[in-house]
Amino acid sequence: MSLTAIDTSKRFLLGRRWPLKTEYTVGVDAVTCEVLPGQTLGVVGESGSGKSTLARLMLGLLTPSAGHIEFEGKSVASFGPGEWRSFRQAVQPIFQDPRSSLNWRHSIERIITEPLQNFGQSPKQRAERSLVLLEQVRLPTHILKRQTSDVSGGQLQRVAIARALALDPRYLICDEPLSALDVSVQAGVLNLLLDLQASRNLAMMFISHDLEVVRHVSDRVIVMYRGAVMEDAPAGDLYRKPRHPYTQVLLGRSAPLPEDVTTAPSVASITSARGVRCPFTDRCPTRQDRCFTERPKLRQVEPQHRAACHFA
Amino acid sequence: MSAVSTATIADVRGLTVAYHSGDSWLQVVRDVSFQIRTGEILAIVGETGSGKSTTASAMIRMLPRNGRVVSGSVRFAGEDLLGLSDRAMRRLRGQDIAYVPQQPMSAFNPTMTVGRQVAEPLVIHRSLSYRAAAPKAAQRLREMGIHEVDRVMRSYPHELSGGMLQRAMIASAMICQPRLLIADEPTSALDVTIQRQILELIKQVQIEYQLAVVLISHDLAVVSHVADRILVLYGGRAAEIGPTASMVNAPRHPYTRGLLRSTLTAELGHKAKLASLAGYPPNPLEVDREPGCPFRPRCHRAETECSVAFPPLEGQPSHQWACYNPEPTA
Repeated sequence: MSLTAIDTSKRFLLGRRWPLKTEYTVGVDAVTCEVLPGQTLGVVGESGSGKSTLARLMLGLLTPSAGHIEFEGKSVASFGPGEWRSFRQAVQPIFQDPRSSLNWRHSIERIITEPLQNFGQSPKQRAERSLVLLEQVRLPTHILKRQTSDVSGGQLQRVAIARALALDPRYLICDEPLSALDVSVQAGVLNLLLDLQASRNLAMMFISHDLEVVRHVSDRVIVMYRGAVMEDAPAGDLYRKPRHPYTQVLLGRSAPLPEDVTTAPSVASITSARGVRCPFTDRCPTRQDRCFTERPKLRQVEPQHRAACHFA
Repeated sequence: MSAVSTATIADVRGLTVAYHSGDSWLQVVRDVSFQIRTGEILAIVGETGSGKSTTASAMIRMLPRNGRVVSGSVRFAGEDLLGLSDRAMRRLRGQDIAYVPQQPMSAFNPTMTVGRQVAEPLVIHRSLSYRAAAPKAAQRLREMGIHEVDRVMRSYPHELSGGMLQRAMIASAMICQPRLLIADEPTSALDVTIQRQILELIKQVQIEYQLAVVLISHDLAVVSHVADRILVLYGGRAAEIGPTASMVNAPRHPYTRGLLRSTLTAELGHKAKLASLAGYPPNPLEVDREPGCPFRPRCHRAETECSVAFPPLEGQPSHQWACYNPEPTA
């Protein structure tokens, strides 16, 4: 019983150039990870590292270019319409900015009850259910009649959570759920997510650039760089003893080499990253000759702990 | 910190700013006062709608069209900025007072090379030709830790990363050797690893040039690593101001304390409950209409008098708080 990515890659078409040359950029590069009931899989990485692409693959919003996504033992690629419907019910997203992910033309009530309507509940059932949901996310009932523009960002993120919970999902894919919120309301939303996970045994994927938040909520953490997993370990181990130089840089344990002039990953750097060298070579403080000629595999460095570095 | 001299370079007194909205004026910054001394970093911390960016814009007279300073004064090196002619103000901006915006990607002109834009203040303020200004721009870029200077100079903004652009922005801000640097959330749009580097760069520049810096941020924890003093704004009012050490270790305003306590620390158990502030930051459209302390609805120490009038600043000259019922000192 889990939502799993198996060797999943996603590349995006950049353009076609004569003669017969097709260029791609790699969003997600052969990632394997698993979201388990009652547990949180944390995903960290800088912008452009493929975190959100991975989330969209897990949600079935994107089709993998290679590898596959497995939902409770079955590949989503083989899903028929009925299976997709139950998948959508079981796996729900929470996005970064509720102001742009929710429809501002709809009232809060409509936002929360729309999934229920879609799954055939009567108006009476929907009204009852929306009250229960509001209580779960600790919002006052008068908010139902409001428009999104009349409520604060923190309240609106709770509305987004209520909508995600409406169909009793078993999996929540949270893509930077706190970063658009004010500091003083982040803690409240974080507590709410943890409460919900504990009371419903939710499986959660939690994407964030905030390493402290990820440490706090996660059971297991994967560290991504240019689409690939650099390190994969239980949260405690990863923060206590990071093995990959990139993780050490992220955690501030070592200084990176000066950043590349262009970090918007160019086609050239991506193609070579996919090829023979380690994608982190251009910023790695401990790089050696071997890193330029042989791409390190994600290998076990300790029980339960994997790192993609020759010298980890 | 020892490097801080006592010369006050900028003095903001009783600053009140209003925006025209609908058919009325709403005060979004109310009676805010602070001084900045040469060689120190003053951080202004607040949430959405707290008035932190408005305060900065008012200081350099760059308020949007619907905004105006209702009362108060802004003195810079003895001069009253609010009374200066537009022409005199333009001479100060970019020369004596520099500004670094939040989004370097949108602040640069996409149709000009970065080198030209870094050099531009010299062309405008020192009447140099671009040709003469270019080596100086390259020199500044090098000081900002940029290695491939020639390539950066020739690049257009879209060809560079956010961190690199923000370095170039600081280089441009520093090129006329200003005395005051105002940085409005300079790291919020950047990745974590880069954020740290940019903050360290600002600190380094500040020490090197004995610069006064106003650092605006929404994150108290982040700025506490570099700031000498911190001003916390809430609902357009100064909630607390003081030296970084006492603000972090012995905050007196319940809001400051709440902000600090809701930050994650290593001591907190895995998945344990965080101390969280109840409620939400006030809507700037509503906070003006109610008397009393804007933090009252979220405050665990609120008393009846808190809803009657806004509390005056109390404490010592160095550390002041606006609260009738402050947190006890530990």
